[in-house]
Amino acid sequence: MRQIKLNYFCIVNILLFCMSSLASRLDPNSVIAFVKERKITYNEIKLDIKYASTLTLEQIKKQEQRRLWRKIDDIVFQEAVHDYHIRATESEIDMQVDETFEKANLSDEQIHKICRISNAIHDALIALYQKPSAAQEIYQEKLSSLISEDDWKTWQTLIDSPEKLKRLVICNDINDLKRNSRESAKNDVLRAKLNKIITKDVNVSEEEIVRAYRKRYKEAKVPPEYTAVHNEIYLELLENKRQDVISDWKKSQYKNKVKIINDEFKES
Amino acid sequence: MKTKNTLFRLVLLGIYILLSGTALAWPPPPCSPCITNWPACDVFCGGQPASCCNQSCCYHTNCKSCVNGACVVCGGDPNLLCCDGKTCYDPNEKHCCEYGDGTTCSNDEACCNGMCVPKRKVASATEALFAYFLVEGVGLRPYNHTVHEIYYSCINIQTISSIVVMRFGPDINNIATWVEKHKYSWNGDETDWVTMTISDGLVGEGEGARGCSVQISVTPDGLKGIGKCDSLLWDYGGGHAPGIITNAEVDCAMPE
Repeated sequence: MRQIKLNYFCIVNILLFCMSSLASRLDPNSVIAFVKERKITYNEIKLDIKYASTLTLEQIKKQEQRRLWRKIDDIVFQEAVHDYHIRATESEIDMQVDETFEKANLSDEQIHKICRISNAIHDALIALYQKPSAAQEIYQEKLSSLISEDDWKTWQTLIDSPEKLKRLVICNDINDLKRNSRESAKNDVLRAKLNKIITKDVNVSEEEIVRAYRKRYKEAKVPPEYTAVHNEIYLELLENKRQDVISDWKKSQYKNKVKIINDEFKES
Repeated sequence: MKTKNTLFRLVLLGIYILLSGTALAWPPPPCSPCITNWPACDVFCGGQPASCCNQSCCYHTNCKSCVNGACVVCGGDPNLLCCDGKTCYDPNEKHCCEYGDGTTCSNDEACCNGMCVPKRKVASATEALFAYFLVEGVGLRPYNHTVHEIYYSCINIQTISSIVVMRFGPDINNIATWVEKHKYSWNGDETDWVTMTISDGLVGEGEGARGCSVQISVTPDGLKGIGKCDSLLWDYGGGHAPGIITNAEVDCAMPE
């Protein structure tokens, strides 16, 4: 019996060894990919240890894969923006921010709630760093009317240090919300301009619209008038074609510029 | 000669230790055939759906079953093929598979027990969802949130399938996790919220999808599917932060 226990002990140890080897399977400085001459190291895409401990190995790999492709996409995008001399002016960014907020149609109450949540989370996390054992009391005092207990646990796991807290922007009114949205809006403007350049030759012929109309309503008992749906079909076909051209452009960029070095990241 | 004898004895001793160690380490055949988890001996075929076939487990995957003591595919009928590990079919007849690359039905049909049946109703609804991320430089992000409901009847059972597609655009690789919940309501009755599963196979670039389905035995008048984005997690490189979501729900009513 003792021998069996000893053997199980050995097997468990070997398994633990294998698992720990998998967890630290890559050297942080090992090069995963190149985008032309730009190296991407494992250190740039690896997940935070505490967050990773909440995931399975498969989920970790998937998220690292996603981070790698985000990095590649960012580099390719910035390079294209540079090559085509694309710029976003301050007024264009302002317009983009205003447009997003208009579409969101946030009520005063919703804006107030976002700001209250951001302040409460900030205060709760500061209190937690000072007294880590008081998570439950802090939740009851500062957050229970705003977010669920599960959400509070998520915040605790994800923003587990004052350094990470510094990356969060606490807001007090709509102007703060808009200010914090400007960087994203700038990227949206730049992407829209780049997409416009890439798809400048895309057009839809009348013949294609007729074909799409016939296909769409071939089984309809009473099809709508062609002229009534012409513009709708035209815009749909145009958008589909634009998306295809953008997708092809990206693929060609990846093909010419990206080289994945590490086998584990090669599949997509 | 003496040295040779000593060496021979050492080799014998080594073999003895090795064999006795192995014999001690290897427990005796512990449980009955097809039963594991010694010493309790209470797990049948590793807990998988299976039958005990000629003293070994016949796992009920890939259309296998135990017939006359043999674990065979499609009841051992050589004229039948296994469709994506789910159903058996005669390759000379029209057949559909529910999953994978088997014969599939047209867009207007659904796979019902191996046969293509017409989908009764299809409806879609889209609303813009807005997520505010506190992360520096991210802020308010708009995403198109679409619910598709498909309803068909399969041998007196009404099946309602739902797909929720979220268009994240260039943010797709920033969204580390997206949890979507869904419920059905009809005639004042409703199901509980369920967490939808990942269903990214048919989505376009910059899109993610979640799916779920229910089977009910009544004809659901006034059927409505409701998708609710429960959480989004933004990955900013140095870490992750949840979003504060507004307009999280999309209602999709079936046409009468």
